[in-house]
Amino acid sequence: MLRSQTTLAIALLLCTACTGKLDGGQPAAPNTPNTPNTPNTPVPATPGDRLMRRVTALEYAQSVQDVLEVAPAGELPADVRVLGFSRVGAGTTSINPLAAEQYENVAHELARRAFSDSARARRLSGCTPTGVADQACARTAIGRIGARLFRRTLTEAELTLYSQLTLDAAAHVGSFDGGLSLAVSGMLQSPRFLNQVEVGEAMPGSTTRRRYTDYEMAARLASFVWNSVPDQALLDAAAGGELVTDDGLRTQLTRMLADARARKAITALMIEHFDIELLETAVPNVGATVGIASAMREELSRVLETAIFDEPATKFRDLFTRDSTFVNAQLATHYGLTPPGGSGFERVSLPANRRGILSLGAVLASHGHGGRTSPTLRGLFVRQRLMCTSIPGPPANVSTDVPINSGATARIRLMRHNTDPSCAGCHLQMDPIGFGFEQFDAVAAFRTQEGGETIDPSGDLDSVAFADAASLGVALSQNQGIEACMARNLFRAAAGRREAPSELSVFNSSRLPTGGLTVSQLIEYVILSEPFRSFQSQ
Amino acid sequence: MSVHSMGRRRFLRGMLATGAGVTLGLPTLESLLHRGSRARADSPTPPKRFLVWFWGNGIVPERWIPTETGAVWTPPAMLARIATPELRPYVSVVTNAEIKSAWQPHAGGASGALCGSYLNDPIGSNGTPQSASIDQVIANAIDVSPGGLRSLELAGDRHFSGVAGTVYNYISHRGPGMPNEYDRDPRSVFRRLFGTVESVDPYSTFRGSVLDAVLADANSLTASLTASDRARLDQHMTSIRELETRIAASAGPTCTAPTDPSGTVSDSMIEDEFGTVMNFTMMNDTMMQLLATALACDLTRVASYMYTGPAAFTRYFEAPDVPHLAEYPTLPEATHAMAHLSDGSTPNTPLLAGMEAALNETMRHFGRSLEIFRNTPDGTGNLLDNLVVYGTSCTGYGPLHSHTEYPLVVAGLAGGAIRGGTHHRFAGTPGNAARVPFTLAHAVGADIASFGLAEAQTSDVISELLT
Repeated sequence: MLRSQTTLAIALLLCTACTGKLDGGQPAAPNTPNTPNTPNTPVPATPGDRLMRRVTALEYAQSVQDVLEVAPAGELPADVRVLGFSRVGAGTTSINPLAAEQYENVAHELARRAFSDSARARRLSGCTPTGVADQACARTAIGRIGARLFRRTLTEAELTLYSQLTLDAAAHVGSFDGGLSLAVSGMLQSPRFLNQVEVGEAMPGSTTRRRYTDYEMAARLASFVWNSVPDQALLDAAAGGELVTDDGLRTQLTRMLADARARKAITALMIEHFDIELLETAVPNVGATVGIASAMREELSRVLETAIFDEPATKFRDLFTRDSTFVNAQLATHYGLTPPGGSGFERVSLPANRRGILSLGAVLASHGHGGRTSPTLRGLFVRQRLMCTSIPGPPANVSTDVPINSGATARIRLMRHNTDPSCAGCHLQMDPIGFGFEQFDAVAAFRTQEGGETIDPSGDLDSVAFADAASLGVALSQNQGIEACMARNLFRAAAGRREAPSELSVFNSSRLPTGGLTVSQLIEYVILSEPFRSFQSQ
Repeated sequence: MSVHSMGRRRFLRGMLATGAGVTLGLPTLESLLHRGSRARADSPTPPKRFLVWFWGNGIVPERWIPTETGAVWTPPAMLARIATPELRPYVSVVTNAEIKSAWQPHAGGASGALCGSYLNDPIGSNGTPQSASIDQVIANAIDVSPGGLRSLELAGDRHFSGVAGTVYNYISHRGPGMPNEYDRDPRSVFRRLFGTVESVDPYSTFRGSVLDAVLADANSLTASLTASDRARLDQHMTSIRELETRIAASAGPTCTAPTDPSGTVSDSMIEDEFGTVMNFTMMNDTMMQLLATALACDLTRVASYMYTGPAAFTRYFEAPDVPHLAEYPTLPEATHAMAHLSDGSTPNTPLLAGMEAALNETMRHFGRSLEIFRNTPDGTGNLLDNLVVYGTSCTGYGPLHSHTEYPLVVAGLAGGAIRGGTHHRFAGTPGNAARVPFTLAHAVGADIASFGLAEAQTSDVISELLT
């Protein structure tokens, strides 16, 4: 009885809501916030303006490792994903009381650990104190460590503040290095370390935009490519005025991409882009599936890292037709492959029915309904994340009690999605793509039948016919929008914000070089682009 | 990362420790007297306290809505899990209410029920509520516990079905894009609130001075920021000031800490996505016991508990009536998935029954939580006499993803301000769900003129709920 409540009015609303257009930047604000009860009245950020971006948990860990030579212990504040990226969430969220407490605990513990080793304390501080009141050594140490943590040379006021704190603390605890550790724990809690703070400078030839300064560009590069703060070479390049030039940026990027930190950071970013956060929910670590989710995660990580960093000829689009992967014995068995001999992961060829990055377990399993496939969610992922098409969520009060048509296969069960005009407007953009992956069950095992019926995985992607998931991968690899959408997503991650409508054309496929780009080339395209190097001055 | 460094409360308690044993320093009784309450100096009354108890996936209206209204009603099977004979005098329910500010299920429903506002992203679920959640509105409007936490955020299971935006992951918001981080490890909650340290060293006692320097540094940054970033920096500085206040809190009477949960809760239960769920009854009881003690000891007066998130995938291993997956017989169906049936029969009775079983288990856990509060002494009565719990969810009926017949539970008497035991059903057109949190804010003495935005904005209490 309750199921009949879906009204025609709502259905019609649904029908008109789905235009399937390219996501055109900032959504319109539905109504003006009138916030009498909001504790701190929020001020919406202006599209395209500069943004104070908080460090993610990965950035915090890599930064303190690089600057203080220790890894953080204890719980760091969790990241919030916005537009699919923690780095974008970091541009909108602020530090709440629990987060402040977590940062405080972690900072004290790791700073104390870093300076408890006297050889390391000398290395980090760059001087040997004559006693607890050695002001010169305090200034040297703070200036040196501070330039890394704050991503630029300290101002005199900052130098005074934290070197005085060092001396006060040293007197209190009776040890110079102890005092230094307390002052550094303060710097680790400063909004100048916990955020990338940018002010910009006048941009030659523009009255509407300001460019980021050399030091700000050094910080932007280090954050995006390494999840870290600038190293000395980047700070030197900034001091030499190199980072406001194309050549200077290219030189640094080439150097940075060869560093192990780039492998870690870019691979982690791309894994986030493929949206597998729900993997462990979908493929739980119990019973017959013990260990499978973590093997799938490892597989995706190895495929991405290898394709991006070890195969200079592999273009981004080639990921969708890739014919090899990395499996351990358990995952090989799960995929129906011959298990490799050793106990670890080995590179193996994929069978003809499983091709491309979208056929990997992590990607397939993460887009479903916890143990059941969802052609809609798989299709939505492809449209939204990979093609940058905007598809609204279903309205409230819509029945999701799907099986109006009973049937063995999803294509038959979901018939109403694609015949009822109230549903079809949106669902025709998603479900047909999802049907292409139906030969992979909810945990990505291959199958040809469901409920005794043969699965039909054929369809078309924007008028390009495909026979199954493998040829869908080919169709995707040839789709112009895929590469431009990746560039847009890389920009969002790099800048920590959505592109402004006025910046959208930079990420139009017609602006990208023809012939296909590697992920490294897409990163370079983003870094050299105007929206990454400048902002709309208000 | 599961290695915990010395927690704030451990440090604080360490500073205050006067001897062996777990004792808590608390403010003097006088300072417990709540502004606006009926307390008198010669008969101290415990402060009023407020809790949001949130669960994902809604209710089954046919098993929820009592036939009768007013003071005499019989709870249908699902509601009966929280309206037990013992709890019945404390539990009220409001029906025929809808979310007036939602264009999208789950995240939109949660935003409407908790904040009374739309998400700021009408297209997808990347949005964040346009205003603060009721717990934060109340925390801002009442006297905070002296030396305690302004608010406490806790969570149970974390099987989210959506990961974008802030609402699938957080129920407490100080404002748009300002979700409050929660703690879901009872051991870490215990350490934060009740832990002790063996010794206090000069490093610990200098922490307040470090925070002073950080604040001075942050102050000088403000001028160079855009207006929106300045608001975010203000939040950070407020958080640091709260930390300082707690460090500086002075000792007073003591309060006995609950049992340290590290004996019963293990790393694998927290880290293994499924460990928690397989022990959900124990985990929920443990967390609620900690919460009850924190409230009774006045370590905080406002809390929120995300038992499960909006559209949670939670699998109930302990509920025998939840069906298991055919391919993986050890795995119960995920709760949210059961609302998206898609497995062929019309109607899909086993899965609908399964969803009902999962929600019954949810309500059993909610009932156990209320029972723990009822068993916690507070003043001359129990915690439910002085606390008021706002229970709500992300949708009405799951398979419809409806925003009508929205679940709205009021449990506890808020120091006598709430009548208790009432079924209020809006007559005619569905009423505005945001009136319930507004009424509760009023009941705990939060002096706010209105709550919610746009169509949901209200300044009308539901007088039937009040004394």
